Amino acid sequence: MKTYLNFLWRCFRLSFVGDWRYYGWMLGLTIIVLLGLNAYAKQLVYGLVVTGMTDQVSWGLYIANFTYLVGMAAAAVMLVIPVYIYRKHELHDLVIFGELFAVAAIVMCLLFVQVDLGRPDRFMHIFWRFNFPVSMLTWDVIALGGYLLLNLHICGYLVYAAYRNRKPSPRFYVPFVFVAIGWAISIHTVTAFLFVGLGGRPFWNTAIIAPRFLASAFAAGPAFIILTLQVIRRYAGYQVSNEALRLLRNIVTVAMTVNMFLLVCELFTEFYADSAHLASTKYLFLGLHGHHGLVPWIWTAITLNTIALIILYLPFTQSLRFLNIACVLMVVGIWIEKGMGLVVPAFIPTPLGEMVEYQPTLNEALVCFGIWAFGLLLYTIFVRISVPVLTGQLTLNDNVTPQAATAGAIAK
Amino acid sequence: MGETPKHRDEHDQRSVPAQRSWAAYCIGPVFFALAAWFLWGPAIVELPIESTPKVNAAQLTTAPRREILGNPPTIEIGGFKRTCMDCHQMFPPRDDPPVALAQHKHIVLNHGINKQCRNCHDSKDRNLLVLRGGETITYDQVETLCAKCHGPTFRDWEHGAHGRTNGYWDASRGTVRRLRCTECHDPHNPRVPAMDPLAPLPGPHTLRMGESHAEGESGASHAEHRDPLRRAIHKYIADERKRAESKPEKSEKVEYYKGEDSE
Amino acid sequence: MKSVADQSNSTGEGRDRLSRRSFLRGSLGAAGGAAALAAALSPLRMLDTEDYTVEKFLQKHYKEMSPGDMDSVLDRIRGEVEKRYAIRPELRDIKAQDGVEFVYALHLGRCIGCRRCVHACVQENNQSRSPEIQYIRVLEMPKGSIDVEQGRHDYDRPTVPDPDHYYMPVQCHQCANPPCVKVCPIEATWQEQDGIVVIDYDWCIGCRYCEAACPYWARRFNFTEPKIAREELNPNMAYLSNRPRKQGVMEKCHFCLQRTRAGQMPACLEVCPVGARKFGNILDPESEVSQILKNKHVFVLKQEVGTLPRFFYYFDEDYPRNTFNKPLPVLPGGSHG
Repeated sequence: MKTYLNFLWRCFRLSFVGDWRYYGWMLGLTIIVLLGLNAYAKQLVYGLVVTGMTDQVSWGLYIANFTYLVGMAAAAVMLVIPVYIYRKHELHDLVIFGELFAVAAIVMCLLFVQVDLGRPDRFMHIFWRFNFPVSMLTWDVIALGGYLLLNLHICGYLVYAAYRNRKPSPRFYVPFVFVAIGWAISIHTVTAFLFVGLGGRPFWNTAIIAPRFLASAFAAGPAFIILTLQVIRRYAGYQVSNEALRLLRNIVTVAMTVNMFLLVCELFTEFYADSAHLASTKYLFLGLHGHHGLVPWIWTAITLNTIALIILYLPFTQSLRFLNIACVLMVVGIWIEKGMGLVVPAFIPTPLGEMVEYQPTLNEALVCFGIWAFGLLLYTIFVRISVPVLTGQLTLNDNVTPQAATAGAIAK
Repeated sequence: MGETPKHRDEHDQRSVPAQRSWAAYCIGPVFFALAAWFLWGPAIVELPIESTPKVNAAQLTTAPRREILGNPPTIEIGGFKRTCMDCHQMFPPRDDPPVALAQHKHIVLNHGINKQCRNCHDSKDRNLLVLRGGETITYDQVETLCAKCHGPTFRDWEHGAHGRTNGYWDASRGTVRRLRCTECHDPHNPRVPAMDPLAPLPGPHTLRMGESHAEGESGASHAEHRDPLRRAIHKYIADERKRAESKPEKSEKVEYYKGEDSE
Repeated sequence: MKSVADQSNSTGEGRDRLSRRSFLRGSLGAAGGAAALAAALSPLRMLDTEDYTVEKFLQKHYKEMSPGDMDSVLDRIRGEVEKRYAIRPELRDIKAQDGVEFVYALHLGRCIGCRRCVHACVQENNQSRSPEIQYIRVLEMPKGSIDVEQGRHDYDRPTVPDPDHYYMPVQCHQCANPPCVKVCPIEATWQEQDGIVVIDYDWCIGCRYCEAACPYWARRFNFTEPKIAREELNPNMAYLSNRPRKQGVMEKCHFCLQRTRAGQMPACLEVCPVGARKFGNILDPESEVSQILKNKHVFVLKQEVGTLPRFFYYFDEDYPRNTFNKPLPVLPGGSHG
């Protein structure tokens, strides 16, 4: 126990050590976190009136980001599945980064839900009268909470075992890894069901939402992880093989293709039948009754995704630099598609046919940026700690001062 | 950690502390500046006030539209209550054909094909109403008279599908007050008059409401205020003022609904 | 802050100097960080502390409160209302009656779209006036369509009705299969025995999932602290209906529970100048609503979403009408006409 506390203490100290780039990055993130916190404090005082949400469009950026990040969290399994099911060992050492990212993403998800609540002080009510299994939101609480615990356990165990110079015993983590694979798919499915289950919102009430969610998550998540791995191998001095990145690239390519295919299926169904259910889709893609708020967004998303897909498929863009571009395009494209493109249009027009558009306010945007910055801060610290531990620079038995060890890690 | 190469330590001592020092000195001041900005910066949130459509109590009356006539109807002349027959017994009824009214000129008769006074009023006893067979009834039985032409409506009224029922739904706990035909309809001009509608809600009630969704305006002007929150509020207040100034006074006069009669 | 690591390992003079400098750096950073954190949270000083008391935090769910608990909660709310509005309210918790199930019927042919119901409702139910919350939305629909998307919400004519339109007020339909109740993660909203879907305003966390789930757009959220002028407060209140709400919780039409459970008609009906609104107990076969459902051409809005509303729209049938309470003639072949 004492060893463990000492481990945590050393990790804590380690997170304050780095070069000027690290400081700059962390300071920047901290400032954004504080700005977000300040914006949230204002929201607590004045209520959600400081957001762009209305009774007509009652969910906005917060739930959009939540939805997106659930997908990102679920995408960690796309690193795990090849390793533990298909025995692709080039990814083995990278699984931990995926899982750490999942932890950070789930924390962000929970924060986004929290800031969306009108009465966050009553959050505890969920433990006292839990409308399970009727409300999909309770399923989501279980799914997200469970996934967070699973990943914390797996990451914590692997890192701590490395710290103690022990070979991790498969008994203590492999079963959890398999549970986590199923669980990851379930968190995203359950989140999709959150929307799909609402009969009064035809835009959501379609079975294709869940598979589309998964496909886009499995594209955007690994894309984001590819980008972080590129950063890690550049700045944190951790070996990431090109083969691993290529494997991830294949995963992303397939997922993105499926995502685009499902999009085409959905568009055909909606537009060919041309029924009254089309209103929200029409608003999203073409504009409705002179309102076009989301049209530029969705076409930007589709353009970005298409370009990314072309880059992934063309033979002369196989280099990793192009991969980075494609990943950035996908991360942004899918964010728009699942955020502004999935959550908001279902509210426009309202069930009574009223057209009220949604435009986030500055305060709302600051809260979102704050949460994102907090998530990245967490992830940076996780990586900052786990890299020296996994490379054996920070262990229980080292007689080298932590300063030297950590500095060594940076110097790489 | 034993295999840590020597050059790393050198690297550490040579570059890292030096790099750290200047970067680290910035952190404190930056945080202080941020704190100052939070406390004295521009982002003070104001909230829209006075967005309520004004309604006066008289417009929300639950009283019947018309007062029901007495039985027999009376009119006050010189401090005394007079019934119809107090005058009409002095003037014997004239026979057909009916002539234009010389008295009671305020009455507008606009009752479809029912254009003759004596379709409803008894020609001999003006304190009574007359049914189509010549049978007379008193004024408190007016529904029976209406029912002679408006049978289905009468039947609906009897069962509560037509007409107002006020007070209590539960007869065991209070009066169920079913309004009678002439409490809503003027028998001479039975169409329900058109009304002045109360104002709609100005818009979705958040800071966004200033940006009229009806016109689909995309955003506010950029220059006035840096803080979009404030900008939205100011715009909202300006719009409200404009709206209040430009809105013409609504006419008070009652118009009669000239649309298709559903009965 | 980051100097902590250095400190513990300082040896020699150079290290010492370094350590002192880094200690300075560290404390400067830490102090700055603390100041920035405190400043970032400074808007919280304006929070209404009365709304965040331990007593309220520990208040039980409506269904779990004993009569004694309820009495003390009602007393506390009375005190709060008195303090804020200088009126001692007639606040009580009225339970549903046995043998009563409420149904609303609205005659589309009669409604003239005057919005009297909308505003009577606001006054009766102590909705926020600024920003104003309205439970009833009247749609001005073009004749020949029942597609709500064709309707206008913000019509403001000098007079109504307009001959080319008909008017369709929409409010909470108190569905028998309410999607809003289904989705609530914490059972803050539920259906009572008399059919009214109620909200415990002291339990709601304000996630607005119910608002997204409602196909009739009947639910409203208190985006900010509701404001009502003192003289406009209606002192006749019930716990589950029109007591003043707080920022951040949902509310909606509850068929004027404080009136209807006392046998009275709801406020929107009382004020309707044309008698388009009908309300009563569907379990009483002689009630107006029972008769209307039995004999009139009745429909519900968005039947396809399967919510089974208790709010019916009706209109007059064509001549010759079916006669009340008489069975239809059986056509040759056995099928009913």
